[in-house]
Amino acid sequence: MRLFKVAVAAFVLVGALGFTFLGGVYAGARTGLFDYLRDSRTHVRALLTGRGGGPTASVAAPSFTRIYEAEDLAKAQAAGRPPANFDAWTGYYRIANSKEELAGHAPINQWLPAAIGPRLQPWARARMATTDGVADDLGQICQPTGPFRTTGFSGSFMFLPGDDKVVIVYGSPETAGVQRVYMNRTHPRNLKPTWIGDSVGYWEGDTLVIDSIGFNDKSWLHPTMEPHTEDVRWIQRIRQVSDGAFLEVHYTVEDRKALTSAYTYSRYYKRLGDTMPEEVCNDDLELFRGFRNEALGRELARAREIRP
Amino acid sequence: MRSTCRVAGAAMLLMFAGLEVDSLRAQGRTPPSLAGVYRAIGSTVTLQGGLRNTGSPEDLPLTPGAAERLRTEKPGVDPAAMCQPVGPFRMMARDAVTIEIVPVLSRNLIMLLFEDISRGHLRTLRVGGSEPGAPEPTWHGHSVASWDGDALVVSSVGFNDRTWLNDAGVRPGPGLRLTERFRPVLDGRYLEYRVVAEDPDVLVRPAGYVRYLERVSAEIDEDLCEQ
Repeated sequence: MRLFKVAVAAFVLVGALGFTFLGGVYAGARTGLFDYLRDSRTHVRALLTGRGGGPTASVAAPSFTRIYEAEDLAKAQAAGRPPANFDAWTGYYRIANSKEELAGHAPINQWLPAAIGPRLQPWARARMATTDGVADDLGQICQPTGPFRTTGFSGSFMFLPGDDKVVIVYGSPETAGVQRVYMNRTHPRNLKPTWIGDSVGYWEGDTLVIDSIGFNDKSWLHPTMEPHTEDVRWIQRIRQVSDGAFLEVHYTVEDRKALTSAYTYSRYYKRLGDTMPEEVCNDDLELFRGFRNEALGRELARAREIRP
Repeated sequence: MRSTCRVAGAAMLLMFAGLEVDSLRAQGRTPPSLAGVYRAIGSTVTLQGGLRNTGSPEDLPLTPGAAERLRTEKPGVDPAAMCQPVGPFRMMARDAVTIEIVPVLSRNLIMLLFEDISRGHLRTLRVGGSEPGAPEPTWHGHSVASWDGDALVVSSVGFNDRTWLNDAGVRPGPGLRLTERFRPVLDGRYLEYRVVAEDPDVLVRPAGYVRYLERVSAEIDEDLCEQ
């Protein structure tokens, strides 16, 4: 009898281990984690052999979306109309991350580094690996961050609809900024690169499509410090779901000089009310100073290592 | 002292309000849309009809206590230098301050966005309704707005003590109240901005200033504070 119990226990244990292993393989394959780890290994090798350098020329990448010409945007703007209830989109929204908050919705690529990592060009991987997560990340010290990192894993915004201009005020606007989406013009020529870029919008059915270019190259795609260049293009497709309880935002990020192909992610933002609570990132002066001094100290130490 | 302060404040507010007391809404007319981008004119400019900037937050009639504090205590680091909000009273007096007014009619809200977003940040003005009883102190206070003729009158309370009232480093007391009037003038080509600060702990009488802002067709530029 005792032998029988031991045999049953061993059988259950082996079964559980096997199930866990297969589950892990499946999850790794689904999320791109294996690709990421493999590519990271290749990247480390590239670093050790001294290959890498600055941004390369554009690479052939069939998986990038089509080029958006000014004429295409103008035609799309002329053809589309906002939904009758567009005014009801007004409000304060915050990202839903937990199962309870998501209420059945399923964001694409919730763990964004697994989507970005495998697509980084060698120079971008090299830069990522040699980048300090605090010293080089202005977001850590409540300085401007650009919109990418905010929308990837956290974030809130005030959505203000308008006929000619839609305004999206991101939480802690002194870091993520204010996105003004012009519905009546295309991108100007010779844009001066900025943190928030230049955004134009049009309607595809009930979906607001926002096309943004003209970003500077000082922000990161995610807090895990994946870089981009001034050629980055950001496309947001926004629609109201669940009877107005959520805005679904589907993002596409392209950068032919930093990525080998575009990547996408989606997020669900829950409507919490009419007004946005005051969010000042740089609220605690001592904390801010501490972070900054720490970061500057590390920068100095690194500089001394390079030039003793 | 406080009653004198209140009487003087009421007189100053009446002066700012003018003689027009019938609101446009009572007459069945809609208030003007203030939507747009506005940039403050320079201090040497005089507009048609002799309209020009007057007053300054630098000329505050301080109570003896506030004057003593300013003289003996170090004001600390200027919020403006640390990319923090500087507070509405000081912000609207900054040179060439540029604002964007975004009305949200369906929600009875008016949003006030600043080009210098780090120091001006975002203000939310609730049109109608009543003032909160004991609001949690914030950088921008809690603002309730109403229409008085063509003018949008904004009353704000509930400020924290992190901002300064002027460049000298005068900190507000817990009883700070701002009354602001935004009124389109010269056929809507300009916006008249009048503000009065009342603060029994800091000011011996209400103090304010007037600024004129030109409506500009230019898009608002990105101006994030970087150090």
